[in-house]
Amino acid sequence: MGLAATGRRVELVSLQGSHDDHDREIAEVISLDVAAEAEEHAREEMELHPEALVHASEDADPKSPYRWGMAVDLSSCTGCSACVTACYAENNIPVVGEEFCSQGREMAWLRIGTYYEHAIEEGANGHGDTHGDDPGSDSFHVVHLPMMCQQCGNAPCEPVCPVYATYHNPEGLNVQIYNRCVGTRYCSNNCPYKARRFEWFDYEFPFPLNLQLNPDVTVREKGVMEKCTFCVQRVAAAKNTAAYEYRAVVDGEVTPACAQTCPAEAIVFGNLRDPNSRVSQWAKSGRSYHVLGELNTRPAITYLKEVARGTEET
Amino acid sequence: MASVAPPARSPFAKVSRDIIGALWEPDWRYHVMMVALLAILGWAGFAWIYQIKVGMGAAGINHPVMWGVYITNFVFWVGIAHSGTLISAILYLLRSGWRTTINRAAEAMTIFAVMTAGLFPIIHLGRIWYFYFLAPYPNQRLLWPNFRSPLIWDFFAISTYFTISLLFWYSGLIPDVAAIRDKMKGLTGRAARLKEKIYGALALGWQGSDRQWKNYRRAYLYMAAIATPLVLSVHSVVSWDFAMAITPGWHSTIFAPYFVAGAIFSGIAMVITLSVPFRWALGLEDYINEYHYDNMGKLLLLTSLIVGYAYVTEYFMAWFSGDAMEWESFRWRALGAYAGPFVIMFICNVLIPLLCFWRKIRRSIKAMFVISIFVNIGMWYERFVIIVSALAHEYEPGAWGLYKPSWVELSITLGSFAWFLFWFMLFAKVLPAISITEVKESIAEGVWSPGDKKEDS
Amino acid sequence: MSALTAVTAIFDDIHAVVGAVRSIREEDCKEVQVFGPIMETELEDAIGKPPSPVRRYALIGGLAGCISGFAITIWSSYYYPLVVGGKPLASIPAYVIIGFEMTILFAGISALIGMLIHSRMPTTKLSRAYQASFSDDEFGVRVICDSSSSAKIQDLLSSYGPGEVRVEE
Repeated sequence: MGLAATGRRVELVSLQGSHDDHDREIAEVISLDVAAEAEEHAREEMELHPEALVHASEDADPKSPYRWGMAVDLSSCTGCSACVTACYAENNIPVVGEEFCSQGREMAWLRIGTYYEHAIEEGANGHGDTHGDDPGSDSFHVVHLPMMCQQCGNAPCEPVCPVYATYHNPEGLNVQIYNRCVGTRYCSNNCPYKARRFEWFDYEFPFPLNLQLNPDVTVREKGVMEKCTFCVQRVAAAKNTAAYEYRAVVDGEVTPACAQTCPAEAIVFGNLRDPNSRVSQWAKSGRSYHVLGELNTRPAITYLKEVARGTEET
Repeated sequence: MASVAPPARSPFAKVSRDIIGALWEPDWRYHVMMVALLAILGWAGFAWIYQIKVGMGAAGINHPVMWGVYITNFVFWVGIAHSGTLISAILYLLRSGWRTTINRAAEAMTIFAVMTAGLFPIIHLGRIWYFYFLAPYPNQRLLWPNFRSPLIWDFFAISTYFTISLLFWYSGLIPDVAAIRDKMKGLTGRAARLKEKIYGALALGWQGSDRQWKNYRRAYLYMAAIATPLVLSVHSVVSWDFAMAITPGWHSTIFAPYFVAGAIFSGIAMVITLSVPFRWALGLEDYINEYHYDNMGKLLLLTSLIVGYAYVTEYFMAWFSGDAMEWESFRWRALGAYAGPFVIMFICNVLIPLLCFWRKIRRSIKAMFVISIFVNIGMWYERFVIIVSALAHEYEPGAWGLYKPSWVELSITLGSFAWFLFWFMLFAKVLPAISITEVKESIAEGVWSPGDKKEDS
Repeated sequence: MSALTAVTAIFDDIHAVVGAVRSIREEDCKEVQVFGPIMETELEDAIGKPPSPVRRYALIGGLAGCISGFAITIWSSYYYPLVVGGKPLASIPAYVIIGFEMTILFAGISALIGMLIHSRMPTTKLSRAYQASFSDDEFGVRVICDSSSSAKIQDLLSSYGPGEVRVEE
């Protein structure tokens, strides 16, 4: 057996523009000590105010018992992308192929952003936050950031749609109405998370992929915008079941495809208006933060900062 | 071109004859040009139909750069439209003497530029067959458009602008068209009878009585007064397509005055670019001469300085704000993947127009023509740089990406130029390209007369 | 009830027309009408007719536009309420733009309509006194007066150097 050069060149497709978050506090890593301290504070807080709700819970109709939210624990996420695959399967997302991916045309509603964070310092600011500007350091940490539609309370994508194809529903979801969308794509320009995708063509689902399509979810035609819906079809199904049984939806009854599939259970979903739900507990954790929260988008998704192991010393 | 004829009996009659004589009966070069334009239009039409059938994927836009050359063209053409109204309405209110011979062509340029610009919001839609969703039309589901969206502001602003410009231009044409009607009365033949009927219908029964003049002048004054805030507001509204987004590089309060100045800048350049060939082609060199280019050059220089100042201000504010993401957007704009277009923009918009400081250059029609071409190129690239470089390099580095226009987009861009030129050339041969009435008024008031180059101004 | 005569003088210089009209106004004539390819403020003042009512049209149109612009936006936001971007339903700053554009649109169209109405346009019938040269390079001053003053008016007009003076009964 031997090895010979073929002379062929192949372009390696990267789906990510940059693997460095340039100190924008998008992929956050903290040390174990800092994490422990923060969690202690949070626990005390929760004991004092067990019924407290996170701010994002306000962004829904006051009469609605639900404000759906999600929490993602970056420490648990291994970047395996099972959630991405599940999302493709659940939501009839077309697989576009290598060439289109290299042109920036991939359709993933949920993508894993891989950020290389440099050495974590205990140091100068005392917060144990990441510093990206130490190129000389050999040790760096990889953060896998599952990024999907944040279902923002002050969604920048909503007011710019000329035809109300996206609006805030009474349960706090940012809903996309495919029938109304004319495809101006302004919503995507205004989304700071770039969570929105556009149907560039009428994609095909050649046999046997068409057998796998989810009948609860529309297959979108070309020219419409789409994005993560928090598996609104599952939410609706759960609400239906609960309505038949004259009760409210209980915590854990609704599981979006990504949360269901994650082997590390890094994603939880639930009602942010229920202070005892898992998602509320996670959202009130000491490690919680919002990506690009300073833009006042009020996202419904809370990320828990990654805790890097063995970081007493850089 | 006018055939050899006895000299006109008075300066007024000469004006009528020169300008009306330039109409109809084009020569072979005109026909060749029109055929070429229609061919380009046909190709662009094919490209558009291909895009409709296949999907927006035929264009080069992608994630994250979801707006590209189409919106660049849209803003470019809307910008060009503004100069026409500036020249005809604002300079009318300011009683400027040099606007009289170029205002008709400038207004026509406005109308055709708006017609061209208006195509692009439709072309860039993903589902263009539902374009009417943007209009407040009665529908079974009781749906209304989102009046908070800058795109709906665009819809209202540009429709208003088109309507008002068209009415303003048309009302200015009424006395001129009556002059053509009356000239046809003195001629025999079927062609003359047909022209008398058509131009007579367009003249709406104008007879130049003092009563008609009184109402006409009042209405014209009010429309000019109305068109003035319209010029300022329409391109402000278009600029707010960008400024109302949170995208770094777009979200800045300078956009409204910056874009309005840029619009006037590119519009004046387009007026110069159009007027140099057409004054030669229609034999109207006496009517548009060095005096006019001198003044247009001054306006070009002024707006170039404002635009240059805006560039500097943007960079200053990005740095001064301390907002790292804002600064990164501007740093990358100048040094990143689109540095080439940025340099073209800077040279063409800021450096080359500085030549207009020299009177000799402003008075040289050839030099002004060349400078205006550079400015048109530079202003197109400015919009490209603003739109594409901001979208390519936004908040989340994981979502950074690049954009390259596809053949479909380039074909349609070329087609838009062909569409615009086609209408302009049609106009030049069918309607008086210079306002007969206003030139006569200029002569009567002793402000300016044809052939006067005003060397001492 | 004395007979009326129409005296028409054709001039080719607007300044002569201004002078002629000024003198005619001092006489007591039924009506003075001026035709011409251009008009100037000086001549308009000399003719001295009341100002054009077009401005009322523009004002009323503008107000109607402003009100309807705000009405349509605010009403539709409450009729089918949809929350977008956390903004209030009556997002006044955004609606100002729509209101402004509607103001301009209605004002402009109304001004034009006012002009057409008061100029009695569009029409296919041109005045009896109209001739084709009035849109080219000649001005016409048409004075309607008593037959008795006809000769005086003719002399007055002739003193300003017209190309032609016509009289009709």
